[in-house]
Formats: sequence, structure tokens, C-alpha cells
Amino acid sequence: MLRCFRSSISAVRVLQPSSVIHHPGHLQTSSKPSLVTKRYVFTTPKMLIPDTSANSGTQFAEEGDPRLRDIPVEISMKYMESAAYQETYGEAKVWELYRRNYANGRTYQPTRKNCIRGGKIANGNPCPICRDEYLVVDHQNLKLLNQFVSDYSGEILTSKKTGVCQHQWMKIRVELQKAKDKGLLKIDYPFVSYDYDKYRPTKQSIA
Amino acid sequence: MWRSLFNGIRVSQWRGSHIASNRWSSHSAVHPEPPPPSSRPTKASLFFAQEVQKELTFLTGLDFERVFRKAKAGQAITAPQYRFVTDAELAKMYEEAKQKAHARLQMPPVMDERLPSNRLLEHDVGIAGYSAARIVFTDITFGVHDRERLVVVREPDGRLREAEGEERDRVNQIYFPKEGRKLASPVLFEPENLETVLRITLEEITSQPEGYTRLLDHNCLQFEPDHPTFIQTAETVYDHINAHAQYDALHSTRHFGPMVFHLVWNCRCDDLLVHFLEKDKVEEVESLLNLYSRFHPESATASASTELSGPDRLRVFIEKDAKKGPKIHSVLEKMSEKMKQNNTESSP
Repeated sequence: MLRCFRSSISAVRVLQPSSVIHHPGHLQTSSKPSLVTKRYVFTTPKMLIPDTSANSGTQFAEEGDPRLRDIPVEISMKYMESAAYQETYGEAKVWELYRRNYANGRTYQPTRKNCIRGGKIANGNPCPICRDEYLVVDHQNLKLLNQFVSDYSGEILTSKKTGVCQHQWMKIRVELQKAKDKGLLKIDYPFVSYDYDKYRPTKQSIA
Repeated sequence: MWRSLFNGIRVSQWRGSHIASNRWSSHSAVHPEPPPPSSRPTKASLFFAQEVQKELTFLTGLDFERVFRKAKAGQAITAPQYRFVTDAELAKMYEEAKQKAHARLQMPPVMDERLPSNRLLEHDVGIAGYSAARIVFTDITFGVHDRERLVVVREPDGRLREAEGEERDRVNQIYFPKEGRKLASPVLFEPENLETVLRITLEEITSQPEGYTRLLDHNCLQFEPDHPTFIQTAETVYDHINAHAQYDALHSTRHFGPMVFHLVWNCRCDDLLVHFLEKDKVEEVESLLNLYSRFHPESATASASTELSGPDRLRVFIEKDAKKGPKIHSVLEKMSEKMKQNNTESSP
């Protein structure tokens, strides 16, 4: 019900439901499906009045959200060396200072599928990559990619550890594979043992 | 019984008995090497010779810190263990560590590029047109070495031939995959990308001393030693190291021996000789000249090796065989001057 309301009136600021009324039987946790409907209560009567302020809908209705700009890789690589980056992140990795929010305290759940939905940043706390448009995940941008690889073992860090959304984590893994394919990653390879008897020239070949 | 020969492909009865025959069961799938040219031995026959192996092992050196370095392999690591042991136990553990180190310093075989034997096993005209595609039959019996596995191909025109080269590699990787090896060769091994990586490796050599080793390890993992790309990549890396005198980058690794082999085989060992001289490694110089004599039995150094040794043989090498004779000579001069200075300083 809430969803169809949003899509039909786009210029109206829709408030989050401030309270959800449940019937008393719903307060105990039970595995039985609830037949009780939830009712949402809005605290202000102004919701149907069109909102013409600058902060209507998204914050950046006319210019477009600057966080969603398409930044080329080369500029991203320059950014990693710049003063702005140093000021923002210092010596820490881009994900180290990020604090993730969990829904209802469910700390076991994976990170969200995508921070950017329908061309907008769809939440208030985007992941470390999505929040900074100058961090472009690319196999050439090794300085960024190497932050998502363990310093000690060379393992790729999980999205749970780094807090990135699933979409960005997939991109990171793909670009890491590309970099590995091009030999740009500093990782070691398993030892190959040779059975010399299988490679030694046989007596037949020495004429 | 014959079903085990075919990789799950149902072959109709009228051909079954034909294939089940032991006509080629004793056949070895190892490709025969071509006969060597008149006087010069093949790379492989030299590499696997005991004396050559001994010299190359000596030149490689053994540095525990290097051999057992912390490798970032992308797998979970365990914390180090600390133990209290007696002297006897310590000596035993040291010997075991030495054995393990020698195993890790096993040199990847140096061989010539594999040549197709183009051996036709059978040409059955009656089968022609049975299929629009080639059919590959693989013997997936467990325990058979990749190089001895029976892999044959039936062409659409009825020829039955051995699978060779990339076909064999691909089939082996499909049924018995090696961890880390890709079916499609990584773009790294293309000449332009290799050049880029070599350039970066050289730039970062002080912060990343294992750059060359990683590259060569990747090469070993991806290709067989007689694959043309393996040889091409390895030789490019060795030449790069030689051009920039970065021999320490491979010292006490499994690739030092093959690098020395390549340089001596192609008469490009002058800079390496200078490197050893500058470090006062006289025994290494001797070893290098021994190898040179063995690889080039018709050279002046080889004939001098029967009578002369040490500085006399080196002099012959500088005058007759070296490409950069003057450079080695000047280094020797500097060394002798330095020795004279030390002697005059030490004696009052």
C-alpha cells in the first residue's frame, strides 16, 4: 500500500510511518502466520500538499546527485594520490572508518544488494564505495583494489568485513581477477612439483 | 572394458571391438624428441645431466629466509609455532628443513619447444562424415601422469590421431584440473602485457624483491615446460634480468638455475660473470666456466679446460669467447688493484 502511494504522487514528500499498530496477539513471537493486518499511522495531515521546496523528492532534483557522477578511472587514480583523499581517509583504508547499520540488530545479515536503486542512492548510509564517487573500482586502480585484499594472507576480504554492498563487492572481485590475469596483483602462486622422469629425454630420442 | 577408454561417449558396438584392441595400449603418449643436430647436445639432455644439475644447484645457493619466505597465496594463514627443543632435536629439524628447502628449489625443466609428431594411428574411411565435429577420446584412468595420458582425436574424415600440444593441455586441465591453472591462458603472457609487468617489476624491485619470482612461478603454474609460451616468457624474463643485472632477484630461488642455463646456452653470461667477480665469488666463476665448456664443447674455453683452470682459463675466456671481454677485463683489473692496495695497507 505504501509503495503504490509513492509511485503515483512523485512530488510529494512521503513521511516514514512513525508508528505501527499491532493487535495484542502479535506482540508474542510466534511461528504461526499472522492473520492480523498492520495499520500505519501518519502523524501529520500535510502529506497531500505538494512540496515545492528545494528539498523535494531527492535532495538534488535538478542538477542530479553529484555522488552518482560517472568518474573516469584515471581521475580516480589521481584522487587516490590527492590531498582530498588524504584529508578524507588519512592512513586508514576506505572501509575501515565506515560503520554499518543493521536492521533491527540483525548483525548476521549480509550487506545490502545495492546502494543505488532507480538511479538514486536509496538509503541514508551508503557503503564505502558508493558514498564516494571518486572511488572507481577498476583493475587499473590498484591502490583502491589492494585495500580489499588482506595484507597478510592475500585473501579477498568479505563484504561483511568491509561493509560494501553486494553489487560493489562483485565488481571488486571481478576487477581483482582481471588484475590478477594481467599480473598486476602482488600474490604468490602454488608450488609446482615436477617428476623429472616424465620430462627427461628417453633413450629412443637420442639417436 | 572399452568404456573406460572413452569419456562417457557411447560408441556403437560395431566399432567397440576395434577400439578395445591393444594395438596402442603399450604406446607411450610422451612425444619423442627430434634427433639432435650433429655436435651440439639438446637442451634437455644437458639440463638433466647430473654434472650440470650439480653446478646449477651450487650456483642457485640456499638461503632459508628466501626459500621459506611468507608467501601471500590468497589462503588463510596460521600463526607461527614456537617450541623448546634439545640440541639433537634442533640438528634433526635443521636437516629436515634443508631437505624441504632442496625440494622447493627444484628447477623447472629446461627443454626445447615441443614439436608435433603428426602421428596417424589409423585412417578409417568408412567413418568419414559420421560427425561434423572432431571427437576427443580421453583415458581418464586415475594415477596416470598427464604427459602419459592417452588422448586421441577422431577427425570427421576418419583419421585417428594423437591429441597434441594445446589440445592435450586443455583436455588434461578439464579432467584433472591443476589448481590455479586456467583453461584460457592469462593475458599477462602476451608480449605487450609482459613488457608492462616487467617494467613495473623493475621499478618496484626494492619494495617488492619477489616480483620476478612471482612472474616465473605463474609461468610454471600455467604452462608445461615445453609449451612455446612458457619458453618465450621465461626467456624474456631472463633477458630482462640480464639487461638490468638483477641477478639477486632470483638468487636462492628455483628459477636461478634455468636462468643461468639460458644465459650460458646463448653465450650471454658475461654480465653474470662480472656480477660474481664483483662479489668475490670465485667458485661461482669456476662453475660458470665449467658450464660454458660443457655447453660449447668447440669453444676455446672448453679446450683450455683440459689443461688450465682458475684465472688462466678465465683469461682465455675473456680473450677468445666473451662478448664483453673488455668489461670483464676492466673489472678484473680493478679487483687486482684493490688487492694490491689492501696488501700495501696491511703490510707496514
